[in-house]
Amino acid sequence: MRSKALPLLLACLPATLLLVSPGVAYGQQLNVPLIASLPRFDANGASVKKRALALNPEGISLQDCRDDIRVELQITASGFVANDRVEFWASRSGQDCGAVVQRSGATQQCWKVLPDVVALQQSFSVRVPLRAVIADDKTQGGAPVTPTADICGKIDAATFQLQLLYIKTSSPDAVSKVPIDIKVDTVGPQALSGVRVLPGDTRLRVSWAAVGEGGVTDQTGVKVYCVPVGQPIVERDGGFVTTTTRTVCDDASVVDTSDADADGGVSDVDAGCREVTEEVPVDDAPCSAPEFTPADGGTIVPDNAFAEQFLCGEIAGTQGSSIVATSFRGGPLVNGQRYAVAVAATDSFTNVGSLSAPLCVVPEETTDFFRDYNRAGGKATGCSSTSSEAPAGSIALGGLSLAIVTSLARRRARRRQGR
Amino acid sequence: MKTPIGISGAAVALSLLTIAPDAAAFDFGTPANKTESAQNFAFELRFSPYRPQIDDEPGLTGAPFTQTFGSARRLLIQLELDWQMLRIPHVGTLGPGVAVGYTTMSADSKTLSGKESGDETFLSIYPFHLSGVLRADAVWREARIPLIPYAKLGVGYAHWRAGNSGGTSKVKDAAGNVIASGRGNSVGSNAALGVELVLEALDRGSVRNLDSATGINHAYVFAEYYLLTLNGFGAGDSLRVGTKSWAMGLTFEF
Repeated sequence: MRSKALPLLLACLPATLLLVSPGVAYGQQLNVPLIASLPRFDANGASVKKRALALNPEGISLQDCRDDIRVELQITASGFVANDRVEFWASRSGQDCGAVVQRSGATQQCWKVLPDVVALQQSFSVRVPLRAVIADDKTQGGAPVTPTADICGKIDAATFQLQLLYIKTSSPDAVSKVPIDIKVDTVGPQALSGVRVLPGDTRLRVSWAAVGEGGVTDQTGVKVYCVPVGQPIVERDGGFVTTTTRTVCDDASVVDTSDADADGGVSDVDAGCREVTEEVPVDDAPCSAPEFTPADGGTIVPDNAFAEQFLCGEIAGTQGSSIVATSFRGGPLVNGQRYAVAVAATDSFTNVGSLSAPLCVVPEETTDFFRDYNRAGGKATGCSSTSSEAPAGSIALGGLSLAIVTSLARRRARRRQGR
Repeated sequence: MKTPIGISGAAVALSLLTIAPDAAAFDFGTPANKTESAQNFAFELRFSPYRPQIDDEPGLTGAPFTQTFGSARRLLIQLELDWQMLRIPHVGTLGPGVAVGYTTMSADSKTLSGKESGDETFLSIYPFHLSGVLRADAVWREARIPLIPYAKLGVGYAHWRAGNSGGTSKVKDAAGNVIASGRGNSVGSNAALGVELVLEALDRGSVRNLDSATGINHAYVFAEYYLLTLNGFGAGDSLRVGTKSWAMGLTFEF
């Protein structure tokens, strides 16, 4: 008898303890499948491309933040009872939001990303704004954060955690939790250095020096941006010149054409100076491209809209250090048109880094061996040349070859007959 | 259209060989014997400095090839397969051979205004030749002199492509019509004289082992001087991508 009772008691003891212990997760479970490939939607609810599979777990880039992307969680709940709820919190560095002290008061380390789901069903879905996950805003207490695009571009390689908490009314601490790690990098690579642009025939070769992002190389590609510079270009003596305007004063001094003095609106021209327009070699003219140079003197971080307007070439991978830009807005680059060119590196989060300082170049015709040969009087014209005339030598040798084969065949036949 | 004397001579010689009444004077291939397997082919791996004769074209002003690519020679890598169809007693083997090779050259372009540019210009050449090959291996087989002279004579052909960073070059007239394209073919003649060093003279045992293991009867190191004259047999509109040069490499007979 004793020997049968002991195993039975040992088997029942854990279950008994679970049932009588308050706050222990038993029965109330949340499950979120497909965490490795969450569906994404834009702010208007339209489906967008999932993040790159290489970004595992889920990754948030600068463009995701700017576009206010949301991820959809398909949640299944089991063992729930009336008045139970699911709360959505986020933390940095993996703090456990399940304890109420992490979610309120002076010790708060987590922030709420969505309103609670109180009417639980076996299966339901929510769309979590990624901005809210990375808001790191603990000032809202128990209310969901509502960050704007101002928070974008400030997090350089960090991991956040979205936590789904199952909370019963009987206890403020969560009885179960689903953590979802989310990598965040909303800062692109540094601006490329050593940028050089050389003209080609309806193209430009852009090269750059080695790349590093904060000492850690995370370059996955380079994008090249072009914009035509408005200055008129004319050809003079085999080169290109453009016109610039400067202000010359009666006292022989030369002042800048920009009227930056604070003389109450009276310009230098009005003060006895005059504007002089003159031709200078295009390479000596300043490279002015307002599209690539912010008025405040800062740097531009290109986004998708910027790329749609100005992208003229890109290269993927880390191996290349140059690219040939051949087209702009669907058409070829135009010889004789001056272009401002700037580049930016991309990282594994598809973040685009800061734009380099623009350089201005004019594509033009280049020397080419075959064209030079033709100009020098060369008569070869390509594929049509050999068909114009059948060479007598070839015919003779062709006939000879036929004679050899025929003769050998006859010889071999005679040998066989002789055996 | 004149036919080069060499080609005419070769035609006569080959004709005499093949239509001679004494058919028993020749064997087809080299049959196996007690120490060697049958031998019917030779394979050559060839390396050669190469500088095309483009600037030799009559009527050219200046030297466009040299001005673009300089005077340095480029490396031609070539493979050749010879069918040693006939064995001529006390002479050697005779048969057709075909070779295919590749060489390319490139240079940085400049803008027409003389500035450094990001473009390149290039010329790629794929030379072929189909030749009769006479190897006088009786010098080794019968006289035991480990140097085998050989000669090749036949037709040469090359496909070439000239281009730039934008692709194949195109020459346009004032109206913008393409009047010449940088892709074409040139034909001509091929002649070569060379000598092979018999490697088995250095280590006969290893060559026998090679034969029993792989069927390779003989291995040689060769040096050759050749004339690949791709001038269209005198046609004026042929890009002269042939050359006069020497070649070195390895030959394997099997």
